[in-house]
Amino acid sequence: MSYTIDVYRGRMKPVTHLFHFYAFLSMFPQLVAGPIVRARDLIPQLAVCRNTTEEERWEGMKLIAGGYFKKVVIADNLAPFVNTAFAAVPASESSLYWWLVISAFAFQIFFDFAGYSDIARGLAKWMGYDFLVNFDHPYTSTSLREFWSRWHISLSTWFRDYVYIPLGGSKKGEARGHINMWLTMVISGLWHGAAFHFLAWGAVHAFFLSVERLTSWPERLKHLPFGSVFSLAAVMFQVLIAWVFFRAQDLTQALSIIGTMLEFNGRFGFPTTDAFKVGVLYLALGLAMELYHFSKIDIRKWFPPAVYRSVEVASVAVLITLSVFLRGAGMQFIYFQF
Amino acid sequence: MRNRVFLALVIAATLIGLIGFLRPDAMRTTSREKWFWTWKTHSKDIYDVVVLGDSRVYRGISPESMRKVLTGYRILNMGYSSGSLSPMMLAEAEKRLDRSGKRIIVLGVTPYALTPKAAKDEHYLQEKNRAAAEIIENMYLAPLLRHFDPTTPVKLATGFKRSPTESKEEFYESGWVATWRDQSNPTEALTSYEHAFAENRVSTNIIDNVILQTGKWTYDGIHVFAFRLPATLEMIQLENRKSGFDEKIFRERFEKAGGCWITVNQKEYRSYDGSHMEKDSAQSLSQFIAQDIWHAIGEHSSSSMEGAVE
Repeated sequence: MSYTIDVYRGRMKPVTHLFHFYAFLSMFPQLVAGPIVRARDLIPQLAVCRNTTEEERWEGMKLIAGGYFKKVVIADNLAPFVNTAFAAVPASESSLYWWLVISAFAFQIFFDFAGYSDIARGLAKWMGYDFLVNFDHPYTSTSLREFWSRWHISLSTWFRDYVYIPLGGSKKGEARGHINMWLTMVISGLWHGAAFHFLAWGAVHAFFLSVERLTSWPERLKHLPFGSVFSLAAVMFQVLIAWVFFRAQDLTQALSIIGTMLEFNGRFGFPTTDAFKVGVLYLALGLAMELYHFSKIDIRKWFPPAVYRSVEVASVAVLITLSVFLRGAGMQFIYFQF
Repeated sequence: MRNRVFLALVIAATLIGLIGFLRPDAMRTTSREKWFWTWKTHSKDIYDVVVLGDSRVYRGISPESMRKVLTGYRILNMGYSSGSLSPMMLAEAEKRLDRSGKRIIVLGVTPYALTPKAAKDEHYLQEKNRAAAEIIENMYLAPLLRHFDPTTPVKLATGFKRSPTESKEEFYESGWVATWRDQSNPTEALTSYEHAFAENRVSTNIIDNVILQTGKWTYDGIHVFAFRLPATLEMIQLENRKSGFDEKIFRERFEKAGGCWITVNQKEYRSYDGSHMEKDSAQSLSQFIAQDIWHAIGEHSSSSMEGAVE
C-alpha cells in the first residue's frame, strides 16, 4: 500500500526494475508480521549489491539471539499464565491477581513482537539490509504520546503518515486534532480485528491521549520530585487498562476484569500453580530488563573495549543456550493473527 | 576475535551439548509426552481391544496389566483429557480395531464424558489437527531431542524435587499414563467437578447414540463392554447428584442393546485426587476388567457352540 500511495503522491519514483519490486514484496524477514518496511526505505537498498561485513553479521547475530530469547524464553513462558487466567471459569476475583496477569500480558505481547522484530532485523542485517527499530523500550515512556512513538513504530508511523496526517493531523484546530487522533486510534484498533474489544482498545488509548493533550500532565509531573517515576507509573497504568480490552475474549470479560482491577481489593484467592510462579518470575525479568534501560546504566563502561567484545560473545552464547533450555511451549507469534 | 559469530556458536553448541547430556533425567519429560499424544492419535497400528474415555481412562486403564489376562491381545488406551463418548470418538475407536482381530471396544463411562462440553473433544482434536511437520517432529524427532527438553526456573530452584502433592507420570506406548503421588488429596477434584456440571449436564443425545452404536457394533460382531470408572465415594455422589447421569438406566439400555456391563467395586480402588486412579489401583482395575472380558467372551463362545449343537 505504501508503495502505491507514495508513487501516487509523487514521494517516490516508480520502480523500473521488476525484480527490485518483487524482491521488496517478498523480503521474507518482514513479510508476515512486520516491521512494516516502506518501499521508499527498502527499494533503494535493494538496488545495490551488498557485501556484509563481520560487524554487520555480528550485529545481526546479537539481534537474532536476543530476539529468540525474548520470544521463546520470556513471551512463551508468560503465555501459559496469561492464557490460564483468561480461560478460567470462574475468574479470580483478586485485584492483585489481575494486575499481575495484565502486566504479564503486557510483557508477553511486547517481548513476543519485539523478539520477532529483532529476529527480522537481524536476518535483514545478514543480507546487508537495514530495517528500522520497531520497539524502543515502550514501557519506559513517561507520556502516552512517547509510548506511541516507541511501540510498534513502523505501524504507528504508518498510521500517522497515511491516516492521521492526510485527515489533517493537528493543523486544523484543536478539536479537529482530537477527532483525527480518535479516528486514527480507532482504525488502528480495528486493524487488529473486527471486534468491539479491539475497537475499545483503540478508543481507550484515544481517550487517554486526549486527556494527556488537554491537561499536559506529563509536563506538570516532570517538575515534581521523582516526577519521571510517577509518569512512568501513570503511563503503565493506562497502557495496562487498555491491554485488558485487547486481550479479553469480549467486551463483557474486559469490563469485568477492569472492574476487579479497579476494586483494589485485598483478596488473595488465586491459584499459585507452576504456570503462575513461572509467569511471575519472567514478568520480574522483563520488568528488570526495562528498568535497566530506564535507569540508563551502561555496562559497556565497566569493561575495556577488548574485554567487552569477549563479554558480548559469551553473552550471545549464553542467550542461545538459555533459549534452548528455558524455552516455553512453542506458541505462534501473537501478531501473526492480525 | 575475527569471527565472533562463529565463536559464539561454538561456545553455545558446547554449552548446549554439555548441559543436554549431563543434566538429570528428571528434566527430560516434555519430548516423551509430546511423542506419547502424537503417537496415540496418529499411529497407524491396529488393535484387538480399544478402551475409550476421558482422563480417568488414560490414567486408570493399563493395557500392560490387561495383557497379563488377555495374553497376546493388542490393546490401546484411547483416553483423552475431557474426552467424550461422542459419535466422532466412537467412530475413531472403531477405526483403530483390526477387522480380522478380536474386535473388542471398551467404553470407560464417566458422567462428564457424556456431556456436551466433553463432546467438543478439544484435546483429541488438538492432537488430531496438528500440522504434518509437527506430527513428524513429535513422533520421530522428539525422542532424539529429549536431551534438549526445556525446563523452568521454578524446577531449577526446587532442584527437581517434586512436591509430595505433585503428580508423577510415566507414559506408555499403549496409551496409559501411570500416575501417582506421594501425598494424595481425595477431595481436590471435587470443586472443579462442582463447576463442570453447571449448565453442562449429561446429554440424552450422546447417550442415545452410545446405545444405538452399541447395537450396531453388536450386530456387526464387535464385542462392546462398558464400566463406570471408579472415583471416591464423594465424587460418585456428586456426579450422581449434579450430572443427571443415571447409571442404572444407562446400564439397562446398554445391556439391552447387546453390550456387556462390567460392575466395578468402587471401594477397591484408590484415587489420588478424588477423580483419577493411582498407578497400583489402575493396574488392579485393568486386570479385573480384562478378566471380565475374558469370561464374557468365553460365555459368548460357549453360547454360540451350544447354538451350533442345537
